[in-house]
Amino acid sequence: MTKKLLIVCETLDNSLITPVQELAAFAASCSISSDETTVMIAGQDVSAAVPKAAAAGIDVMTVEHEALRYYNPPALAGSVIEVCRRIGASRICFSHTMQSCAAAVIVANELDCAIVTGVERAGENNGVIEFARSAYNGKMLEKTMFGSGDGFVCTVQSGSFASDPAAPNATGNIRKFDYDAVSEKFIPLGITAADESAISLNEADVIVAAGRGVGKEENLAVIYETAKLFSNSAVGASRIVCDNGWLPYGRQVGMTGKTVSPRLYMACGISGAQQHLVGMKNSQFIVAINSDPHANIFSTAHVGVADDLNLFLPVFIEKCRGIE
Amino acid sequence: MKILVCIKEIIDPESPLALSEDGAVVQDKNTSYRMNRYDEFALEEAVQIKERAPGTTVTAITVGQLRSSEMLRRALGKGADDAIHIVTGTRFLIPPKKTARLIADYARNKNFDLIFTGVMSEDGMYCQTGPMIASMLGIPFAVSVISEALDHLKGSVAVECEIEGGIRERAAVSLPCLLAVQSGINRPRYPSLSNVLRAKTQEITKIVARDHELSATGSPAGLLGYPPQPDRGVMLEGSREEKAEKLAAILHEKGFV
Repeated sequence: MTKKLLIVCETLDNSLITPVQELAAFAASCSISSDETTVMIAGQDVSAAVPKAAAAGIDVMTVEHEALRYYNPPALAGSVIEVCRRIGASRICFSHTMQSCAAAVIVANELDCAIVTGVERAGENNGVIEFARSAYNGKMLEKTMFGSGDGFVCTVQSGSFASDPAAPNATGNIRKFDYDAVSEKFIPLGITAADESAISLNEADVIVAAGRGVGKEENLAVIYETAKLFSNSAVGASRIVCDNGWLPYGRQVGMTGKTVSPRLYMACGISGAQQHLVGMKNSQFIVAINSDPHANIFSTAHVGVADDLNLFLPVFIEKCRGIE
Repeated sequence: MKILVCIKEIIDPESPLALSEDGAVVQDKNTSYRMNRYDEFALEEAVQIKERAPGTTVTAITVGQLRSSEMLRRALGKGADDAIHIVTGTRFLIPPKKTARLIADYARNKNFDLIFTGVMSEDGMYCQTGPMIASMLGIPFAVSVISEALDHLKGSVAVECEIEGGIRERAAVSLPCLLAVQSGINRPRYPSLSNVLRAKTQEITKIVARDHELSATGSPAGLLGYPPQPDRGVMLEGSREEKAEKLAAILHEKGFV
């Protein structure tokens, strides 16, 4: 009965993307020790990524191939399956990004084992491992249990497990694995960088973000006006605002958008879909304004205001100017 | 060209949500439903291909309870040519592996050139069903697709996929393939009157899913519960004026204004 864990790390254009320390913390929270764990790093040239990934004495397996320079879910999945066979791992853990998740699905299907995506909490009790993930926009928690001998594939939501600062910085054994069975049916061609506005979000101290509750494009004026109250501020958005064409996708905070952690995040008319929360929940101080008092965003906010933002913000702006 | 679009009926996220004693989602007269938003984009993309390439057929398929036929009629109204309903019981959140198995079994040997799904469903947010269908059928796929262009000569699709931080990856995917589309790839249309009239009387093919196909072997059945109430956070009380004043004072105290 083997229960070795493989942590899968992806690189994009030779940079490490996967938060490997978070995944190691996830493994620890399921009582999976580091000597039962192997980190696999896949990419075109992973030499720069290896020192970052080789954490806490965990053994590292590298897989290098031209086809892995950009995200390539089938090639990644194929190499993961081969590595699992080599080291005898029956538990496989990816980061919960769209591309890693796609690879995880292929692996689960090929190995015919259970898969849980978007794991946010994990625990172990008497050999039973319990995973919890959000469903219904965070209104529900879905739990899945595994016995001590069960294999599984999972993807872990970023920002859910704090990396252990006390973890020793010892490097495990580093081994190279040759993989060459790359399919010609999916060929990555290159990447297009994010636009400028996405970069400004990263550097802002304060982000005022607009959601569906803004109602119409003209109402963004009050969001910009609010942002002007703060120094080094930027305007962000939930996905639907970008889908409606009110703001460019470079302004999107959340899954596939930006992950931000400003000193202040003001969520205006944002319901708090999980895809948005993963991008902003680590902000230092969160204020939420939403007309629905039951909106999920209030569970993440430090301060909540149940009100229509279009009526509330003008009054708030006036009060702030009064202070000055 | 033959296109299959997988769509799902979800409980409207604005609708009240509660659990019964046995952990099932309560569905009653207050529950409202709609098509998963990401699937609206998938359907629109398929219909746009049909408009560019005459002779293309678009089949909409769903795995869902009896009432989901109404959503399929809406898909016909938006331009799908025919509709397949794999009928399940009333329980929500069927494990994605089961949904994928049912759809893959239907699609096998039917020579679909393209299969569209949404990138995820808004209720389960698993991001599994699309790639799982493709894996079961042994065809390539792309996820988080934000643009696509068919290249009939090469027998492939050029796609752009959204990855983290607003970066896009370009890739070539061989036909037949599955594309799991991201929202914003197009502007979904409203149903047209002529299509709605046709949809009213059009027959929807119903296939009843057998029980064992929905049970949870090999695919974990998640137990639903309410999340613990986080202890952080205060709701400001009072009139609008008072709330605005309190918030301004808090942000002033923290040095933001």
